[in-house]
Amino acid sequence: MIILLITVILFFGFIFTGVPLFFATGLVSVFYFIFAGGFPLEIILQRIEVTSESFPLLAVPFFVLAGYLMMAGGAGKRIVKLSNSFVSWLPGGLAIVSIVAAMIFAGMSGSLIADAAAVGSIMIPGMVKKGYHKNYASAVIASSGSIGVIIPPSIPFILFGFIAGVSVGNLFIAGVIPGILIGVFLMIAAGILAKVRGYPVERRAHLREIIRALIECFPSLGMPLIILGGIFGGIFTATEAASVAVVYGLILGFFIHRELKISDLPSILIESVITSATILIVIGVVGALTWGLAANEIPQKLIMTVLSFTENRFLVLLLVNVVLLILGCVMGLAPALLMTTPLLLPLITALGIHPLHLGLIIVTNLAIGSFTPPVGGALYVASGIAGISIWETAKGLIPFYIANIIVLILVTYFPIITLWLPKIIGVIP
Amino acid sequence: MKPNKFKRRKILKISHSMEIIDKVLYRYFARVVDIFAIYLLSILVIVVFVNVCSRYALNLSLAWSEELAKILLVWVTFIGAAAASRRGRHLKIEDVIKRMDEQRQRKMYIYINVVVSLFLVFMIWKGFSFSIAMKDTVTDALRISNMILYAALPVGAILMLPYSIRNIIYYCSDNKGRQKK
Repeated sequence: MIILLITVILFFGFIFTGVPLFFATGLVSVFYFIFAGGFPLEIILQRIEVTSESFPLLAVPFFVLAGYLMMAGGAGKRIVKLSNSFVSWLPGGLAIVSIVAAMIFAGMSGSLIADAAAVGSIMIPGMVKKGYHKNYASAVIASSGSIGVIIPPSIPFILFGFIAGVSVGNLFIAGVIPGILIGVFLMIAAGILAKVRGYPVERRAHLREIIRALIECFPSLGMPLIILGGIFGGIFTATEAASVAVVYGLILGFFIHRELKISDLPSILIESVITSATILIVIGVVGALTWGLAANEIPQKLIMTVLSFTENRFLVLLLVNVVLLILGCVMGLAPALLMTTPLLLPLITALGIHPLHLGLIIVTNLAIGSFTPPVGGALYVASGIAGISIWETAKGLIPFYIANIIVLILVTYFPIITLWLPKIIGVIP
Repeated sequence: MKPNKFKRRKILKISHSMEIIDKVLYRYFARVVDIFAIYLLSILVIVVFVNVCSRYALNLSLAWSEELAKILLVWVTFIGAAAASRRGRHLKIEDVIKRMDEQRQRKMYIYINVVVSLFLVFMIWKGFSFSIAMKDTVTDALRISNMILYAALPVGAILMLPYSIRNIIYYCSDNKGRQKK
């Protein structure tokens, strides 16, 4: 018990003093392995290695790469145009356009950063030009990053699927409706706020403009169709779909839009390598630490302790959500997901929660951490484009936090939202 | 007067050798690492995509391709981790440090890099002994030694270690005017 306490203190001590997670967790696992059971230290390296050779996780670099390729290949611009021709007449005008564009772009990219950058680099200057406040424009883009986390393909689902042993394809299917729901609630929040502040509304587009935008966007829209259609129809695994997405992105950028240059490729590739490598090594080392914890049955004991206070499903889920929200905000999405998932897995049997539902609860919750200070990735991208500090953006974000939390409550307490689509498609009984 | 002069000369000397170290580490060495990572990821995409095509077009699943993809992924990951080290891009929480004054920050960076180096040394030490222990076992499809899989860890650690050591020397030596990397 005392060893566990020291381990926890060491872990948080290291990470909050700025030691990179991989090394902090690594040293803490060495400590834990030596003092709490005398496990052979080779297991740490073996866990790291096994994780980084996993075929399902191969989808991580591919989907990140696909996202960057679509961004550099000019898909963002066309999607924004399409979404503009459809929804710009709604209250909230360009904000609604941004959110719809982010939802479409999320369907072809696995990277939160690419999502926020592709739409934000066009829409934030556009909104500011039309007289929207900078912190509103920046907040719209930052919060729509949370859609990208939930609408498939999504890196957090791949990570959760790997740790929990759940099919990534099924998680993707389960994420569709909650993702759309978040989009709708963000639009409601953006619309109300815009109405109160009196932001301009655009005129309705003519049918001819809509058709032209659709034709121009058609090749880009083929990407989510191939990825999601392929996975949902059981044609591809998530990893295979990801490799197809990369090749599609290349063809689109080089031959159809002709906006991608050979000289862009090295920086896109190295950026994808770094993004995925830094996540994959952390998964491995966290896997090692949680292997040690699981060998001593810590997750079960932890859940049992919680359940000994209350077996009320409502309260336990509330507690889980509060803890996840805090961890997501202070640690960031991926690290919090990797740390908490193994500890929460016993909930599946203890409370009879469906694994897909648990995955959606965790990811929907931690998605909020992707645009909260101090570590939210989408927040930094949006604030950077708008040229304001992350704290200024955060002030504009309050209505969007509320929208996200409403969806989180719905997803947590109504499993039907998550499980309906997979049941209809027939991937789960 | 004299000790002062001596000190200044020493600083100059350190900053001069730092410059050479930085040039080697951040230009030449880093470029090789980057190029490696770029090629590995490109090959990885091709291997997986070719397998998908061959399965649907020729109805032929290439057994070796999944295994090759796994080996490449391990190497991409650890070479990529080295590229991340060079850019200081590992996942970390910096908010606490950023609020400190410069003097404190420097001490913190020394401590962080010492902790990082400790784990890297562990990875190199255990990683090599482990991969040597695995050298007689072979992979399922390609029948090559498992050593090539496990060697990625210590090799990646060796590529990361110079940056941590460089940072320790850099933050220990008192050179104010130079830019932080």
